[in-house]
Amino acid sequence: MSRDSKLAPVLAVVGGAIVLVVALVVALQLSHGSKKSSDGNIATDSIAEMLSGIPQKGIELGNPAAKLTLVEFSDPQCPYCGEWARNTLPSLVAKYVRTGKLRIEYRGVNVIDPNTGGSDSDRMIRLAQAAGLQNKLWNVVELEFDNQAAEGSGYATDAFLRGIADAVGPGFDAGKAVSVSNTNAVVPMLNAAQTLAEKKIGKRLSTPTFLLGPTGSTQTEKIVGAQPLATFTDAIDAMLKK
Amino acid sequence: MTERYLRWAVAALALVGAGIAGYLTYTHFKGSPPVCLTSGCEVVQNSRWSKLFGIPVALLGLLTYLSIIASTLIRHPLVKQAGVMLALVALGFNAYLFYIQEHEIGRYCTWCISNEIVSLILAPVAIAWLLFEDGRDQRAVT
Repeated sequence: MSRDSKLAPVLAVVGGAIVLVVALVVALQLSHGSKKSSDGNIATDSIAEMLSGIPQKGIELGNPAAKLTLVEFSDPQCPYCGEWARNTLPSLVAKYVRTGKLRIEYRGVNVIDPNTGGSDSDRMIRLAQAAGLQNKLWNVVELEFDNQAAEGSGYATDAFLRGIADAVGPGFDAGKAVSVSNTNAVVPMLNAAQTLAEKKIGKRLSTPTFLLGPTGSTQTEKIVGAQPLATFTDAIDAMLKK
Repeated sequence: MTERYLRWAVAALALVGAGIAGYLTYTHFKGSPPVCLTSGCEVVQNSRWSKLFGIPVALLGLLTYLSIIASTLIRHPLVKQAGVMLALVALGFNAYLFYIQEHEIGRYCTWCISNEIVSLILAPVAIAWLLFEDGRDQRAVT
């Protein structure tokens, strides 16, 4: 057998393996990634599945009597917040929220609009808070993170927001949520989040930032940034043992 | 060294890999954390990267290693090539999973690392096996 004829199968095998590895990596990303909704614009993904059966009330996700509370300060446009929401949150929900050990509060803070001169964050936080009035805030927030576009690009159009609201699904009045998001009804909630952020973290807030602690008490542990999953599980496990 | 020894080496390494992947698959379906030298195994097992469209990654690893073992038993050049290709796929995908542990999860699972080491050794041995001519393979080709 000549040298070339010996190498040919090796090259074919290596080439095939590279293609398969790339396909597997893409599949692993997609398996928790986005599926387009019926209108083809909004990714509905596995958010409904992740949140299914977990109580929501206003900004809260999880058992109100959970031992620990995690407060999330994030901006819907912030890429790191989106990364955390897509990669870390599902594991925390499955392990701690679904089992009643942890509840999470969402505090939408607008840190990007002032830098870009746009209004995308404001519009998305408003919609989330309006959804909170129907106890579907978390569905909207996670849909917003799943459908992030470039910061300051003006992507949070009326059609985009309506698409997000429509994607929440049964039991949610999308039209009402969009309508309420444009009223002053959500302003107190927006102000409350901003005030809490400044009080607990300071005026130089970077997103995402998290506060963890016993429910009903002061959240003592601060986690800044989209830290790896283990940073959160270590902190939560340590507090649960106390 | 002969083709036969390399084939045995491939089968033995794949058997070790199958053992590790089999144990991780067992603990996954049992719902219990694997026995682990660090706290990383449970964190990795509960992470979103432990499943591919709902199928445990460990189960895919087990099936891959069992297929590699089968490829050493079925003496046909195309099957041999498929087995070697799976060994390379195992290496590449394990490298990606190592990256995920390092950058996304922030914790290492000792079983996963063991599996990654097995695939790191298995891949070059499998390539060598492919390069060695097998008399029976040649007869099948001609």
